[in-house]
Amino acid sequence: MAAATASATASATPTATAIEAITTPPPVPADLTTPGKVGSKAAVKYFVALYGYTLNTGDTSLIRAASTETCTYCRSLASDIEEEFESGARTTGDAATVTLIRPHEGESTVDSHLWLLELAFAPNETIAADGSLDGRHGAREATVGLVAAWDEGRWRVAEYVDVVDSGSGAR
Amino acid sequence: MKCARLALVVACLVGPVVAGTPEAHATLRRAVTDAATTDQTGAKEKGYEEEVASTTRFTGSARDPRKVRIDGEVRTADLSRRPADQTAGGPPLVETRAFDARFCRPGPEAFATAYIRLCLDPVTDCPDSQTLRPARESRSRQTGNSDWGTWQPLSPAECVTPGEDDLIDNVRTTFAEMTITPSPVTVIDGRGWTFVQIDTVIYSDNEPQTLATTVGGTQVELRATPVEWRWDFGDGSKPVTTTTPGGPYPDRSVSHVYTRLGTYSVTLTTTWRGQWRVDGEAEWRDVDGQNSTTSTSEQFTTHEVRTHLVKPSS
Repeated sequence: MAAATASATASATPTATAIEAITTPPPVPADLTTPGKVGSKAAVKYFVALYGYTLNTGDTSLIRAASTETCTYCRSLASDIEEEFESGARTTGDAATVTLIRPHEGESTVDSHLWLLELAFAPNETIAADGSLDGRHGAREATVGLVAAWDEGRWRVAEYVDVVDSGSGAR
Repeated sequence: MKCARLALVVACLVGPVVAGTPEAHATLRRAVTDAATTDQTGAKEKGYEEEVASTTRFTGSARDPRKVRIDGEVRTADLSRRPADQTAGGPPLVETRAFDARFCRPGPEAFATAYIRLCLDPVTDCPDSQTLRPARESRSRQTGNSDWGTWQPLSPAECVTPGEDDLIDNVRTTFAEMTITPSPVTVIDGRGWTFVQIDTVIYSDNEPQTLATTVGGTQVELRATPVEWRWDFGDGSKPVTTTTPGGPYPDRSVSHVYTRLGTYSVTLTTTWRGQWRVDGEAEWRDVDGQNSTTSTSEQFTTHEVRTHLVKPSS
């Protein structure tokens, strides 16, 4: 992903607090193997919780295990992070937390549930391989969709879906 | 788009570049919201340059993803399943509104019989600890193009106590009325016949069912979990209650010996325990009360094992 833009750096406050690296993986929810929406919701929230840990440590094993082999988005996310680590850059922060999660019944089946999420991302900064500050971002929010599917005896994230407000464009 | 505020300037500058993608569209929507907040709190207080339109790797790693369109924000959108002939975002078929109290004043309309319940001694004041929930009325129409029907009374004005007790009561009622898909009943793996005088294995499952709904304006999640199974084997024998759903052979925890030839079906009454939690909570809370469902197996026949003495071939 492209680094942050460099505009208006002079106005940035130099007293920004240090961003701590996330080094502890989130606990594995017991409900990952629970049939039904309880399990699929747990899988989606676990995936979101794993994001910050993966981004900060470069350990993609857990997020890969939390997603299906066919999830191209999940593979891309993991490989993007691996590439960043191989380049020598390091990102701290950007922990994602779920502020709202709702099932989209209209596009869900018995073994595949689409969850719509409002996510809050903590501030983050990326240090380039040469030690220079490559980018720094404040807290942000995003609305995304994640599909959880029953896969080999447990729920895993299987797809990323863009959430588009169909009404705002026409209004 | 107005660009009077600092954070909005950033969004406006990047808008033409990224507005072509739905992701950017959502980001920009968020950016506008952020800008309103930032204007009050001061963007620089956060200590970071505000780059509201930038993305995280979480969303940035999505390449040409599928898109789901919703009507409104996720927080407010109706995401439930719709009948096949009703498209998402289509015109509403039912609408409700707070009942106009002036309707009850002397006048020809005040005598509409259907509204007597709402107009007779209407509640107008509540104790300090309670709030007034106004009377509501609703109307409906057959299709999005047809005329609306007349307004009908829906609920009278009443004083309600805001807070958790109210919510718990509502959750209890909602769970009692929750539609639960009856448990499956499988006899001898569904092959349609069994033998008399031997164990016939019968089983169901213990899969919980969940329902995301709004109770008294609060988004909650209900979970129904089967805890007890009452088996009526259909042959006149005394029903048996178990605390496990049984399982396919070789599991024999639920089985029955039929003694007569015939055609039978097993009727299962499942008792469901309820749990609930406010959306976003991690822990489940128990619902006071239970729900039950009844299901019936496919019919099956019983057969007799006959032994034959066969003369060995020489």
